[in-house]
Amino acid sequence: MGDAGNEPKKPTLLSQRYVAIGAMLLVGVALSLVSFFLLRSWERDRAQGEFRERAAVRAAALGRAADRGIEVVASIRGLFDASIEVERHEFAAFTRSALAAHPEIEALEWIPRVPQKQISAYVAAARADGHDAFQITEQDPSGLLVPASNRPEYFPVFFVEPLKRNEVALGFDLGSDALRRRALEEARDTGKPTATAPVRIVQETEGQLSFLVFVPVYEKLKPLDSVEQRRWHLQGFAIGVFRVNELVEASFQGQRPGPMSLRFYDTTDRDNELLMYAFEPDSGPMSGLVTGEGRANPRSGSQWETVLAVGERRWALVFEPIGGSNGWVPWLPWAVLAAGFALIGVAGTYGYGLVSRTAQVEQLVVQRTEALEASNRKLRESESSTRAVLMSMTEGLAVFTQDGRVLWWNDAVAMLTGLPEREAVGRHIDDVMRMKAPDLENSEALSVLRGTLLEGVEAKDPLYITILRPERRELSVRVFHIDLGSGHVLPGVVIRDITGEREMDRRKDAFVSVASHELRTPMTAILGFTELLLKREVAPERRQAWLQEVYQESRRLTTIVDDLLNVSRIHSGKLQLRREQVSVAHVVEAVVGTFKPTTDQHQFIAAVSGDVPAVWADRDKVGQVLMNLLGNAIKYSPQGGKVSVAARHDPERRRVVVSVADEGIGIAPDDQQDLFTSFHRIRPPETDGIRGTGLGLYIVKALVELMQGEVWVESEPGKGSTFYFTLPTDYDEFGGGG
Amino acid sequence: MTNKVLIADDEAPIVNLLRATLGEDRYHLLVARDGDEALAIARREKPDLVFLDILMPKVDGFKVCQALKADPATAHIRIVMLTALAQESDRQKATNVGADDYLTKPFSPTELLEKVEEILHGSA
Repeated sequence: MGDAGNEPKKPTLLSQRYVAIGAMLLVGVALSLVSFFLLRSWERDRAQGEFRERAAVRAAALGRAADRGIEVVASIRGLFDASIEVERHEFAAFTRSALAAHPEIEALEWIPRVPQKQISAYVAAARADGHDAFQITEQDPSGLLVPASNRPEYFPVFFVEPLKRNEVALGFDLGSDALRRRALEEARDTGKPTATAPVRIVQETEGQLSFLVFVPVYEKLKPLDSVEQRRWHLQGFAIGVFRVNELVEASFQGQRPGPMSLRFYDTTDRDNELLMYAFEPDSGPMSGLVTGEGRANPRSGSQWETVLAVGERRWALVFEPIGGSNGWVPWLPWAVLAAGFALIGVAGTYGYGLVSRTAQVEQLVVQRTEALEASNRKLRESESSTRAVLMSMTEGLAVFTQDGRVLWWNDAVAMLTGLPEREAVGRHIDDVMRMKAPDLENSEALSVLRGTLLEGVEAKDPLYITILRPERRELSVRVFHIDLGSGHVLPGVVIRDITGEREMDRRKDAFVSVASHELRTPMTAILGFTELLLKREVAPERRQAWLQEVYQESRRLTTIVDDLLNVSRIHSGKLQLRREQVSVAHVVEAVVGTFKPTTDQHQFIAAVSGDVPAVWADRDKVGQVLMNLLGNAIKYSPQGGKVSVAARHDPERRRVVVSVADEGIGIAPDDQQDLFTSFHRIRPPETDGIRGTGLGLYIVKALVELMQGEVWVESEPGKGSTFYFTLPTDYDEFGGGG
Repeated sequence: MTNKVLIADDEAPIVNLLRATLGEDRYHLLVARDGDEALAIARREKPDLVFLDILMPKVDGFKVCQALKADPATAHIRIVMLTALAQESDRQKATNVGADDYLTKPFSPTELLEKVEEILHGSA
């Protein structure tokens, strides 16, 4: 798997998650900040709005209070218009209720227009009314009241109510003061109630500022359309004195103005704006204390200003919320911000924890997956090696599903059935059996097999089945069941090809049988003739013949026993070979020598040329091979026949080729194949009476091959046979074969 | 009247032993070297008794026996199977193909003579 591929991937994924969380937190912070600013802005606007509303209410109330005061002053003109002469007590009576209702009015006064020549009359009238010290006064530069200097006309305070606190003002000539005079003349010229600029009135004891409102009173029934006419017919003025503090407080109607400061300025003269009143919630009103003070700098940008027109003057009212906070809730946006951050913090911590834990879990999953894959790999390796072993087993192995379908089978089964595994998998056993049934010797075995496989019939002994095609094979089939637990059982078969074993058994049986037969024949003869000799009185020549039989059969018995022992040694691999240099010529000479005395009816021709090299072989075994071949040649050739032994060198193949030829009956081509197998004795009619064990050529072949040689025959029936065998001339070759 | 006895065996020493045991003077002895020859002689000569080797060239003893017993002309011929095979299955098989008796090599000449007397004269 791609370990290298996974490495850079993991941190990327993880960092992507962290980036996502970071982005989420940033968005959260941004949202909180936006909320904070929006909320703060909204809250400010709301507070500002509220503040302005309250301020406007205050301003309107102040305006109304001033208007009401001026109306009171104007009502005095009605009094003079309606009367021929207004007595001092009448004025007092008229003003008493108004003064009671309007505490902001410090005083109401009547100011007649007094030409110089009428002064004495007015002074006398005032003194007659009980004001003994009445005189017309003015203020000197130090502010003290002094008798008025000579002027063409005077505007003295003639009536004043309430008299008690204003008595000092009686006789004060309002025309003597420039500030008052300006308002006075304007009122006279316009006919409208006209206020003075803020002024400290003469009866003032607390240092407060006041303003006076002049309402002109003209002679009755005179035209007043022009300034000249109004100047000419002016009779006097009704005056209201208003203390600024009281006016403002009256407008408050007992209510505190709230957390705001109020200043108002007389701005009629734009070059000389005058502070008339200042209210701070902490310190209260302080009118007049700051007389002439200019417009104060606003403490915050949130102040609100409006302008009132009062008695032809302009008052600028400046409201300002206290402490820069105009009544808004400053902690709310901060609380929202704090809550937002707290939430983000919690969410971030949670998200970080979540991602970290997810990362840990993923890491764990990766580790577990790797471990699992490693163990799977091991399992696969072990499984595939097990499978490889099972697949390549020489024994057939097949496993079926519980319902009898092929789960898998190995190459051996594929070979036997002719069905490769990939075509077999999934096939039902019945299907396979139907296909194979014609190839079987006994198809009944299949139904038994089916029973044990699918119906769980116990079978202790293997079943034997013989397949006829493609070649005859004998099989031992053993059924097994793999118990997977909980009733799940997989049936299977182990199929052993016992053809070879059976063949071996048959050969062994044949060997035993032939050996028994071959041994019993001479034994029967020996025992039988011996018994006859012992029991019967016979003629000497007959006895001689019988003894001859006994002797010959005894020798034959010896030969057979020797051959059997050799075959047995060859079979068991116990035959010991010596390695020595053997002269073929010497061996041939010796063997031929042993045969010559036994037969004088055959002609031996030994032709081994001198240049034939020595071979590496076992001298005795070479002798035995030659004995057997010569024995056969003599046995199967007619009397007087020629038996030739020859040897030649084959340098190319580093061999010596030895041949034994006879002029005997020969061997049919069909019989030549099986000539060298054990116990194969061909018995054509011509071989009547020729006896053998059938082991001779088998032994020849075995011995020659042990010495790394070859053996073969060339023969024509009726003409004779030539047997050949080779022996190596090289030591290596001989030794190499063992 | 001398009885005709056919000896069917490819092994010369066995034939020689049977000849010696039975005696040319007492029986008219015929010899066959293989199955075919045994059948031909038996059909032609109608011997009283056949010693029949099992392992013979060309046609084995069982088949010769079966053929002789199946043919009404030769069914009466007494047959003694004579073989080196000693297994019980062979004895059974000999009985199945109709052999009258069975002798296993090596056999005692005395015993064989008794058997011949019994078969030929016991039944006559």
